[in-house]
Amino acid sequence: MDEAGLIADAVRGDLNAFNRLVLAYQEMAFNLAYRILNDAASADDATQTAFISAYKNLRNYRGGSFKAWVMRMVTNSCYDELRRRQRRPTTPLEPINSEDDEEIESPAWLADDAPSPESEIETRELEQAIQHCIEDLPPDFRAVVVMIDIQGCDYAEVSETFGKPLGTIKSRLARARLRLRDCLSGFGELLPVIFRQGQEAEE
Amino acid sequence: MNNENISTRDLILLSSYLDGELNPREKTRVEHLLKERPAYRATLESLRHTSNALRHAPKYRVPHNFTLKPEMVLKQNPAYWRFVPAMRLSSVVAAVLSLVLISTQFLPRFSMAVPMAAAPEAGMDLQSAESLPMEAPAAEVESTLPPVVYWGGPPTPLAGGMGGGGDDTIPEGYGAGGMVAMEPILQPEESLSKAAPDSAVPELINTPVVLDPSVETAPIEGTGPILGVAPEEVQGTAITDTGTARQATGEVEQTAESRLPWQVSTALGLFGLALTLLVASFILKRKILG
Repeated sequence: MDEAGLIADAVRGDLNAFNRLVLAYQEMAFNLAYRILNDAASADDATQTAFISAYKNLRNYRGGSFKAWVMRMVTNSCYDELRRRQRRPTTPLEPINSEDDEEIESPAWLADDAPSPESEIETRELEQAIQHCIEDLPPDFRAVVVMIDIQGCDYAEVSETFGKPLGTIKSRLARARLRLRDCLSGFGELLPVIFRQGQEAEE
Repeated sequence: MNNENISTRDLILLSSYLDGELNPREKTRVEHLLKERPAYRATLESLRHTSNALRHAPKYRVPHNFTLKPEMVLKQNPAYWRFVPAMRLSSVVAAVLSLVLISTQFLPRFSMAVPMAAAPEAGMDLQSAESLPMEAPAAEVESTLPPVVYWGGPPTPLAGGMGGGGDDTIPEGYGAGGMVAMEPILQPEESLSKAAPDSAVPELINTPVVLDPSVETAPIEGTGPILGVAPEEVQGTAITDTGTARQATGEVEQTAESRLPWQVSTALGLFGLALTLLVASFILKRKILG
């Protein structure tokens, strides 16, 4: 069944139809939440909350891109979490490696399937660098650059997601890219060859 | 990085150019700039590589499916949920009523005009000392005789001792702060013994008095108010005016005094109710939304 049919069934209360939509968008939703919140557990909660909220508010869906509508629920849920963090700042309990007391890096399940050891290391380093730089961005910039550059959404979808004019999205994206460029340049050798080549060419 | 000479507008154009999100005119402008200015080319390349690096970022796998179960979406009680807007509306209504009640306390139209209009005319025969000179022409004030102060008792119903409202029917010189303008001191006994009726208002006497020579020889006696000497039995006692004016205005004053606490307490009660409902609705909503 197509997306419109599933949405129509879900509006009538068909939970199975809605769950099929959930399966289609859950990866994008979770990745967006993870990039914004930089925490797997919080991203999990935010994603689940967003889907529950989406189901309860399906009657308010007025057409357009369903993906953008769901992503809007996810970003709203993430902003709620960020506000909650600001109100009640907490110290995360990071797992500690007992041997050298260093933080364990990203869990294994985060990596792509069957990577070679070299590419796994490279991916992990890139991931750390990118996530570090994304975290330094203001939340509005963060969500825009994640949706466009990481999730591959187009400008119109992002504009619809945030309910902002196209010009605002372009402006936020350009500023976010500029900040990320300056931040990532500080990681030098950690970055993939393609990025280093870009830096060298610029210099 | 070579972006010092690039304006924010051009930076946005370069970023959008990367994604092919420019209209033809903007695209032509950017391509012209890229040809002419190396700094623009360098910035475009750096943005392109940044974007590529982000596209290479690993995707996270979902820890579990986020499909919904019936109990997840049937948690809230719809009837319970409907209380929130009703409570908020009631809160607004209570607050508005409270404001209306409080405002009537301070508006002269409600708090002053009504009691004044309700007061009978008899209540107006006591006039304040302040209002008197304003109403009396200067010439008339000058021509009035000096007042005689009575000590020991109210000689006539006109004897003051208290102020009050004003009225055009009241002759100038009367009823202010216990001072009473009277007819000349030496008058025939006959005229002195006449007490003015309660309802009658004496006319102002502002002409020079011609004394009757026959009265001069008559002995001064009696307990009348001429000399302000009260009878022995009432001397030394404090006398308060309980005349018609006070009786007439008494009801109105009582009404005004008794109305005030009722309105204020009702307004305060409504205000408290409004606050309680508002807070309760917020708490309820938070509980519902988890």
